[in-house]
This record gives sequence, C-alpha cells and structure tokens, in this order.
Amino acid sequence: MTSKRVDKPIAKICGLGFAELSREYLKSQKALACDAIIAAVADAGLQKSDIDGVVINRSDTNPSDDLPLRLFDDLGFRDLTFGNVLASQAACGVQMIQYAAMAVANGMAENVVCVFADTPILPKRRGGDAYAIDLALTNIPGWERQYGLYGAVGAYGLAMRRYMELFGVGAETFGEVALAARQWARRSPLAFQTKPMSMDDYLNSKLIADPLRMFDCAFPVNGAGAVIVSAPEGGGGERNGAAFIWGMGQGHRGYLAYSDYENETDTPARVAGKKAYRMAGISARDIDHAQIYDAFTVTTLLGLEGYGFCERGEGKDFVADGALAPGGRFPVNTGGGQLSGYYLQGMTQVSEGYLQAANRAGDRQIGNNGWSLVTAQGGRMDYHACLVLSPEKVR
Amino acid sequence: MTEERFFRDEQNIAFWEGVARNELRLKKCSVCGVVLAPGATFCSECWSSELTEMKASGYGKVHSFVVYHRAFSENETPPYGVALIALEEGPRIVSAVTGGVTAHVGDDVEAVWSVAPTEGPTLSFSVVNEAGWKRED
Repeated sequence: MTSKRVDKPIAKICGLGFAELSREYLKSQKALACDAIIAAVADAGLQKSDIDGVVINRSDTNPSDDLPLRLFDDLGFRDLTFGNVLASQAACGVQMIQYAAMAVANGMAENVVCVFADTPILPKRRGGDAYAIDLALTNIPGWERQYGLYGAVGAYGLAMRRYMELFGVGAETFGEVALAARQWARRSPLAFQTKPMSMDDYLNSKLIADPLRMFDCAFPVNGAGAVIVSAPEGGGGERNGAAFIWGMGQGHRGYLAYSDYENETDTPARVAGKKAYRMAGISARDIDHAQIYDAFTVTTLLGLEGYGFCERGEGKDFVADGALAPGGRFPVNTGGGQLSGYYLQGMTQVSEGYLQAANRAGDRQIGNNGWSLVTAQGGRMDYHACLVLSPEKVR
Repeated sequence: MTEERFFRDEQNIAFWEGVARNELRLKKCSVCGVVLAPGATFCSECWSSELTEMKASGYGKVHSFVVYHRAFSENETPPYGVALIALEEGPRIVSAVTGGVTAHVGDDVEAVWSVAPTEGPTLSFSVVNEAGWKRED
C-alpha cells in the first residue's frame, strides 16, 4: 500500500474564527459553533452564499443532540453539497479538515467550513470532570469501577508511568514539555495560562493520578473554533493568508489488552505520519515546527516519537534544554498548546498550525516557516490524524 | 452471587460466580489459541466464536499503575492505587497492588483474594520477590 506523492497542494485552509473562549458556561455548544462559523467565513473574506459544505466535530463531553446537523437551521444554509458530523473523538479536529480537503479536491464542494465546539464546563460540572475514559479491558461491566479507575487522568497516568519506567524518564522530562508550552502561551493572545512557570512550580503542582500532576493536564475551556477549507486555486478567500495542505494521514488501532500489544508507549501516530510525509514527498527531518496534540505532557512526547522526530523512548533527550520552547531547536505547540493555551481538542492544534503556516502568528511567528505538522488524536491514543502544511502553493 | 456491591450486574453471572470461588475466569480461542479478556464473546485475532473458559493462574506482572490523590466518586478515599496487571496467560486487567510496597513496572505479582468481600474489590495483587515469596511490608 503506497500513498501517492502529490505535485500540488490538496487544499488550503484560508480562514479562522473563534467563539468566545471561557472558563464558565456562557452559551450552548450549538450557539458557540455558530459564532465560530460566522467569524471564520468573515475572516476568509467570504459570504454565507460561498459556503457549500459544513463538517462538524462533536465533542463526547456532552450529548450528541448538543451539536447536531440542526446547526444548518440556525445558520440558514440551503443547497449545501457536503456535510456531516464526525464523532470519532478528538482526532476529528484534524480529520474534518482532511475530509473537507478531499471534498474540495474532488469537486464535491468549493468552500467547506469545519467547526469544533465544546462545553466541558457546565453550571454544575468542572472542566476536568467532563473527560471520562472508560478502560473497560475485561469487558465485564463493573469490574474496572471496583478499583476506582476514573477519568482521562487515569488512562494517561498509566501511560506516563509505563513510559517513565520503560525508558528511565523522570518527572523533569514532562516538566520540560509543560514549561515550553507555558513559554509559548505567554506570547499568544488566545492562551489562558500565561503566568511564568518554573521547574519547581511544575514539580510542586498537585498530584492527581501519580505520576500525573495538575500541570501535566490540558486546560479545558468552553468555546468553538472554525476554519475554512477550499481548493488551492478555488474561490476561497486568502485575504488574511492561507496554509496549503500537502500531506494527510491517519493511523488507528483497536486497544488490545493482551499478548505483547504495547498500547501505552507505542501509538499508530507512526502510521499516520508515514502516510502524510510520503504524500508530501518529505520526511520528518524536513519539518520546521509542529503542533502536537498535548492533552497531557506524555502525549507530546509520544507524538514526537510517533511522528518520527526522534526514536521511541528518546523523547527525554529530544525535549531537554528547552528544545520545544521559543528559541529552541524545534518549536512545538507555539500557541501554548492544550496544556497552557486552551483545550479545544484537535482544533487547538489546527488553529495554531494554520496561523503559523499562513504567517499570521504575530509575536510567536516562526521565521523558519517551511513544512509544518499538525496532529490530533482520540481514544486512549488509538486514533490519530495529521496534516503536513506549507505557506507555499507550489513546491 | 452476593449482592453487596452495586457494580455487579446480572450479566456475566458465571464470571462473578467464579470470583465468588476466588477464581478469575478468562476466555481462550479454540482456533488460534490466544487468551482473551473474561468478557470476550469472540476472538479479536481470528474472529472465531469458539471460545473456551479457563482459570487464570493468578500470576502476572505489573504493567503500569497510578496512585490517585483525588476522589472522583464517594466510593474512594485517596490516596489509592490502581494497577494494570499483565496476567501470565496474556490478558491485562485493571486491579490494585496491595501490601504497602512500592511497585514497579515489570514486578512479578500474585493474586490475593480478599476474605472480606464487602470491603472493596475482591481481587488484588501482591508483589513477589525472586524467591517467590510475597513481600511483606
């Protein structure tokens, strides 16, 4: 199975809009999604009538009715030629861009708006409590709950511990990831966590599911983000800049908890990256900067390894000495990521990847702006998707 | 089967009856031989539905573990540990490491069945040393 090297971009991202991001419940997911769509269409310099496709990435934190196709009613869309709701978890932030790109590349639509909206924070629910990951390994209902294994923090704490002990990694390595994200966040007007963080601050942050600490976790917000995906030469506006999509990949697996399947420290990001690099005709070495899904600090490390920036287990050396931070060897999550910026699942990485590749990232703009990578993942690191972006329309 | 704990539903009665006899019952594929989770209904490797039951030896290794410092429900009092145990037959299960020792990934463990099933989970695991003796605190 080989993927074809493309000789021109598959599509472009040419507009970005947000609803108000907040740490309190302001409005419904659907209302937030509408705000983001209207803002993205305006940002691209397009009109409502230019939009002929809508792809929605629904969050699992709320019932499916909270973000339905009924969005089309609110926005008064008629005669759309492409539309769907994707619900394969947070990898969809990137996946919806991929499906939209395939649609515009093949003439099913001209300008597709892709939106993610979420309200993890409800009047009676704190943000962190919204993310339940059920590790139902026995397939016997009730078994796992006997032991009090709750939340995404449990699943990712287990991954973190195994990674630490298999590869001789200490807490400071995760601290490096958290510190880099915080330094970038201080340059981003969108970021929430901008107070300076030292290694001591990281090490003294509250343990939640030891070895996983508070500062290993993403910062949940309510809000929405939307981008416009158009054909490279098509009608989509480039008033504020475009990012061209040259490579796309996905990698998925079942979480098989037997034999020697290594779910915790080896992920199919590998598969997704290989596909996307081949399509773009590049390798990991050609990537100048990356937006790596960082719901937890361990996912940044596993992402860097999976996407081929270093070998498995070598993330410790790769991230050392502020390598990912401003001024470092390899800029990662330049808006503060999900850890210090804001957690809108895959849309966090998509929005920042677009801003960088379109040279719109302001004070945090990376000068060495050739090829870049945007990743997202879902499940227990089971579902992966990535984009290879470039500011260039021609190779 | 006792009804003390609300976690247990009426499905998988045979499994819970095994637990009541201090047995962890696994599934084994008759076609390809892979040993699967207790609740498996067909083989995820070869897709055969011909599964047989087998009793786990109770030996395994620590695959990973966490210590919760925060309660997510009223049933837990932090700090408490949760572990992934790789049974020697192959499947991994969620359980706990007891005995007060600091566990490490790869430690050999042995099943410990609690005699007071109303007080927490019935099955946990204890670290065993090289000589095969359980480590005491």
